[in-house]
Amino acid sequence: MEPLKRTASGSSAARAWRACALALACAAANVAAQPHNSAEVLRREASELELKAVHLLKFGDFVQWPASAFGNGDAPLLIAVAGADALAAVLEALAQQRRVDGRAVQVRRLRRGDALAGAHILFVATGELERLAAAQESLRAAAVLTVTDGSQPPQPAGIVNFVVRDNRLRFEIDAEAAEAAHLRISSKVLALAVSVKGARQR
Amino acid sequence: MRRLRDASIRVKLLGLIALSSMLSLLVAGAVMVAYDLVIYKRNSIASATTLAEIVGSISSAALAFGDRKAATEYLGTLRARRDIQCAALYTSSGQLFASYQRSEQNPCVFGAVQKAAALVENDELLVYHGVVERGERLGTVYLRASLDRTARVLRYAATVGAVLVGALLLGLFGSSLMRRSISQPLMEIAGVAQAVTQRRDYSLRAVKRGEDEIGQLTDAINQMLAQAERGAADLKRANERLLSEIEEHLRARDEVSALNATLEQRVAERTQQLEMSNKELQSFSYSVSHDLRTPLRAIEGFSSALLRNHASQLDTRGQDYLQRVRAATQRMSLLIDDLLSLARTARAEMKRREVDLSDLAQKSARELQEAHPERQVEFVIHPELKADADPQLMRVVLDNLLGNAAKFSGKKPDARVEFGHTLHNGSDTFFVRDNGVGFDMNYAGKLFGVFQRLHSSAEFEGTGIGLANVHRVIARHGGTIWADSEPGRGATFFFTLPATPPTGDVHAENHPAGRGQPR
Repeated sequence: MEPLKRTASGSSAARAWRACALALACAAANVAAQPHNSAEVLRREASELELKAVHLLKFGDFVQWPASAFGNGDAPLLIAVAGADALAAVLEALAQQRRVDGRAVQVRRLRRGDALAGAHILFVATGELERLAAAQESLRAAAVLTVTDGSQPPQPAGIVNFVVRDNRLRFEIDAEAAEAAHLRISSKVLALAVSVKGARQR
Repeated sequence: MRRLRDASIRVKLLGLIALSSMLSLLVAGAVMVAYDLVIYKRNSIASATTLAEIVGSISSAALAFGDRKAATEYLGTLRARRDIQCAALYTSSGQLFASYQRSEQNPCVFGAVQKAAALVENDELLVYHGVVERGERLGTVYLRASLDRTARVLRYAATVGAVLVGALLLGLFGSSLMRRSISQPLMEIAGVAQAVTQRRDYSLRAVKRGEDEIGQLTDAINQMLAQAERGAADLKRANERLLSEIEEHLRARDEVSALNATLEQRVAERTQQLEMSNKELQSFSYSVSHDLRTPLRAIEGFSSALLRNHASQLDTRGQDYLQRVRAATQRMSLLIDDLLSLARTARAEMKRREVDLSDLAQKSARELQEAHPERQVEFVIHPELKADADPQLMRVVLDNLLGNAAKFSGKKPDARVEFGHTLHNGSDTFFVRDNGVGFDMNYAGKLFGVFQRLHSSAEFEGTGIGLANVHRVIARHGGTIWADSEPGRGATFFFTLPATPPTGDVHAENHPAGRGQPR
């Protein structure tokens, strides 16, 4: 488990840094060519974490949970973060000022031993993937949008799996798993995905 | 250039159709264009707004997850819309996220984002539309669409023009139909009218094609022609009648003039013949009278000598016979005298001068009283009766008229003969009146004929020549003579002697219708 975790972590960090450096270079080039875009480029460069946090929040806008997932109309959207406190911190900051579909957003940091189920969105850092694998069966039918960060086979991947392509943060979507979890992911998001597992032929 | 007035009805109608259709099409076209521009603008705004919404909706995830490539790709689908010149996506913070530009020739300027609106600027439509997902504003879509209203108006104008041309063609087609239904009948009527005018053939008729105004016109013209035909026929008949009358008159005139020409000749011939026969007759009667007198004188002389010298040798009967012979010879002598007188009055040369008729009448009366002392006749002679006449001949007239008057009244105890003057129809007229036996006016026509007698010679002696002689004298003077009478109540003889005698010496051989009594 450890080496796997290390490997994953290392590769993730290296990838992040590489992405960051490339992004910076791109930003520098872009600043000269297109001064318009400089601000956003700079912001992306500033924090990949923040980008991921924003993405997590945005998924709330494009995914539909079954009504049973929420206790009542005012129940908050619960985002659980496992093994990524920094991200959780950024998320918490963002969640303060954001509402998703009229609901407040709550962020929960999962410690070791905390059950993975119970949230609407579950972010599992690369180091915590074995926990995800262990909870896979219990999560399969639960209406939880699992998100992993750059998980590669044979490691388990969430319904959404962040990947970096062409220096940009993108994601893969497992439509089969989403369907099993009674989640309806907007086709618009599917269209943006790098890859979609399981054709949605319905 | 021909004036509109001279243009044919077909052209006028065509012009009318063309003008009205043009006007209505122009007005309709203008209204349609104006309306369309309003609708077009509204629709364009709606369409562009919808498009912005769709683009925004499609791009919302790309915007949310910062996928510029996808967003640019999505915006690129706008290429299907030719009117969209520029498009852009702005992030919620107002940063330009992705853009689209239809052509390089028309570069787009992407300024600061504005709040959602649709506005028209310089024939271009600018639309800003918010991208919202689950109530969260993710950014703004910007669209710039060219309205190209000028092209649209031009397209409309072209359409209207095409319709106009079509309408004109239809109008031409319609006018050819109209030519059949309006112009043609009118032309036919005009042709008939012209033919009638030129050939004066009123039997021509226009052909009626329908019950419209032209049909009524045709009827009216046909009725007019029928009347004209009747009038012309009447006129023709009247003309023919007049012509035949004129011919007749001409023929009659020719006949008359021919007759006149021969008549004058014939009159001249007859006059000559008459004159010759008159002269022959006069010379005959003169010579006969004259030659008769000689043996008569011998008979009378020897019979009177026989009676005077040898009366003793004759018995009473013989003497009586001789007396009868003498009386007959005396009567015959008288007859011869009268005949000679008649011949004389006809032959004698007339020498007119002023004659005192009263004086002549006095002489005549005196001689009558001396010749017939047994008659108790009172002669009343009006004095100072004068005339322009031959005295010898007038003596014959007065001797005869006074003698007749005395003769036919002499048997009455209070016999009265009057010679006087009166006015008849305004002209000087002399008269001889008696209160004797008179005569029946039915025989007045015989009065002045030779040897015509109304009374027997046993009753009143006479030769029947006297009044004929009188009539001849009066006629030679240019006057007239007539009589008025009643049996038993006397008779009056009137005669006139015109002051100016006629140029010719008229021989009155024929007996004019006079009135009087032959003796």
